[in-house]
Amino acid sequence: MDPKAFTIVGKAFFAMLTVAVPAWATAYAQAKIGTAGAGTLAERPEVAGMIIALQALPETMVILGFVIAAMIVTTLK
Amino acid sequence: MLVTMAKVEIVGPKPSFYDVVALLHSLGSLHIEDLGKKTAEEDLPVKKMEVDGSQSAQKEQLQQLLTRVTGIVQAFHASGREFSKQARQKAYDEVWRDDAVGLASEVEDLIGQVESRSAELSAHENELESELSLLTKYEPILQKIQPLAKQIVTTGGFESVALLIERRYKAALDELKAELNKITKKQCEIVSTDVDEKTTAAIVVFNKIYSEPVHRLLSMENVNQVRLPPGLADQPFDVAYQIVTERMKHVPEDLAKVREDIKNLSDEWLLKMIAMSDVLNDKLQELDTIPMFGQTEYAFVITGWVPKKDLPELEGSVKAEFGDDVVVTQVEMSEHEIHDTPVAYKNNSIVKPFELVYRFFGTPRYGTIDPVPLMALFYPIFFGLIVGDIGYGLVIVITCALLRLKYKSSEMIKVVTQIFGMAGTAAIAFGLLFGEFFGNVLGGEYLNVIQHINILGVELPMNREEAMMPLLFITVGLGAMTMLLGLLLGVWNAILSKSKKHAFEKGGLALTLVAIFIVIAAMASVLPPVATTPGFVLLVVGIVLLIYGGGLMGVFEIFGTMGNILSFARIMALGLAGAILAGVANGMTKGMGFAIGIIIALLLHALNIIIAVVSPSIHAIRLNVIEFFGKFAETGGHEYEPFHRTTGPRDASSNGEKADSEEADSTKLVEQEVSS
Repeated sequence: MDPKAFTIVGKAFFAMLTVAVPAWATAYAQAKIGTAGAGTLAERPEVAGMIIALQALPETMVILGFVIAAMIVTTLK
Repeated sequence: MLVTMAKVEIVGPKPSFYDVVALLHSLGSLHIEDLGKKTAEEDLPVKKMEVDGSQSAQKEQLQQLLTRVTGIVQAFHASGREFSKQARQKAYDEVWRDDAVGLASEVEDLIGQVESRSAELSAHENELESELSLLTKYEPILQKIQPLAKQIVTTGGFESVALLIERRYKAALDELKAELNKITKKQCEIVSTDVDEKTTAAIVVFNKIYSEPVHRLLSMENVNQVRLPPGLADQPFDVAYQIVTERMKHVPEDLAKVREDIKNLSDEWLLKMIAMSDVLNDKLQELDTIPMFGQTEYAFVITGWVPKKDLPELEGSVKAEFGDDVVVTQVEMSEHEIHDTPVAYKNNSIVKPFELVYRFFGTPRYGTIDPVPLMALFYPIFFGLIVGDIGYGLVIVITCALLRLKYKSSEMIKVVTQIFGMAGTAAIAFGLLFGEFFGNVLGGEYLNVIQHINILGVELPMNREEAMMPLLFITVGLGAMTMLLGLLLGVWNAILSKSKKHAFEKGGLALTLVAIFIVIAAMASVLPPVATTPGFVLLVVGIVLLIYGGGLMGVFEIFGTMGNILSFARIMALGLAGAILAGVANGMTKGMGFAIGIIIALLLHALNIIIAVVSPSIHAIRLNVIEFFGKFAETGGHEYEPFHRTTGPRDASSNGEKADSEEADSTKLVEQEVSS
């Protein structure tokens, strides 16, 4: 295989992993927070704002993953 | 910003106590401090004011009257009826009596004039409604079995039972017949017919002497028997049907007449009843607050907070009514009391809607910086940077304008559309900066109308898909600036709260951040290499201050803050994702043929707009509340809740006499009474 093509495929693969793994982690964390949050809201509806903010917290992982992936992808050209 | 409050102490002779409480209640500006609770926790020279036996009896009597008034209002079906502020106030003033005993007697008299009539009409209405409901239920069933009922002529010794069964189980009638023959010794007959596509009706006629075993069998076999209401139970089915159809004609007319009578009674009495309910609620509230006050042997003591601007009026009113007998004194607040001081916002109409958003996350402590105006500034910026599309911004702004026009009276719509209106406008502004109109429609691939200009070495518009790295630096830089501002505000907050350690901690952290930026900039040749040394010196000073203020653990704050700064990369990431999706939507018009492509493109744009409203909102709020406000805002305060009558509290943020929502409260109160 052409080494250049190999590098491009490798970078693309790891760019994919950089999004996919944090996306899975985010989904897992949000599922846990979501279920706990729903239970909390049933007891204390006044903390809705905080629960929404907590629900958004793990998104940082996939967002930063996406940023890194975007940085990798820019080097493909 | 937060309203400046003054702590007041009102002292006077015990005989004037109730009059003073009534005056404070009508003024509606004092947030009462619970002295009763305070006397239990601290050693104070005053005792808790006790509720005596006569007050307990008065309270019980007023509660009973309130229950009766509520019952009458419920009978009037008044939910949704509105009265003007003036009309309500006039009716309130007519009912109000300072003296609780006199008030109870007056209310008792008024209730007596209407209660029995309203109860009678209400009972009649309920009766007719129940009958109508029953008739509506039986009419179609009886209609179904009519063809059969006409065939059956029963004598006194026989009983008939109607059954409805699904047509697919029709064969079960033969088995039922066999069982019934056994029980009744063949003294029974079943006649059946299909009444519609799904149902078969059957009438079982049998000798009355077998009534009990037959009914037992039918219930055991779970057969759907048509049971007539008590009044018709003894009638043959055809007669029962005639009665039902006859009543179906008359009951709605009777019901309309009763409702008309109720409406007439309501027109005459509802306003008075609401006024009575308001007055009784207020009187009960006055009695309920008694244990929150203090007393000595001969004097009463009331303490609380008023907005400083309302203090002269409070002093003047008390002076005018009680002369020198009752004294209002502004007292110096200790540090502990400053933390207990209630918080009232005083923001302009642009910032005000964000108070509601911030309420979800807490209330700022009195004496600290109000973060709400900063949210009103930074939320649209963050949102606009993420969405950054002229087309999407226009859709958001136009939708907000249409919603405002359609739901003019809804306060919630006003608040939401104002917030999104500002956010949408920012999206349009940043859309101009990025040259995006529904994605890349203006670009070379489609309309090709973008003219590039160069401002201070930066080429505009900035294509987000191509300028990923510059945008990343810009957003992280924005994060760094925001964090620095947050830390400086944190220092200011610490000075306001007289917390030296906090000031050093926040200041040290800010200095450390600046030092890190200088060192990185010097290493990246953005600053001359000579800047490295002062950068390291600043870093050491910053860390020393940080450790002095926050202890060794304070050092970890550096990593947390760096994480907060990197978190701003989400602005670039979410914006880029949105821009790419918009580009994909436009690409559909090329790849799938124009007609189908444009439909799919519109659907994708619609989806992207929905995502653009929800996701950037959450992230823009999060960047404000968690990253930015986390550096300075102190929550844990409690909101200013003045002791006021149902006619409305004083608005702490304006010079108006009463709060703006007073008018809208009229309906709410009626609904509240009905629901209670």
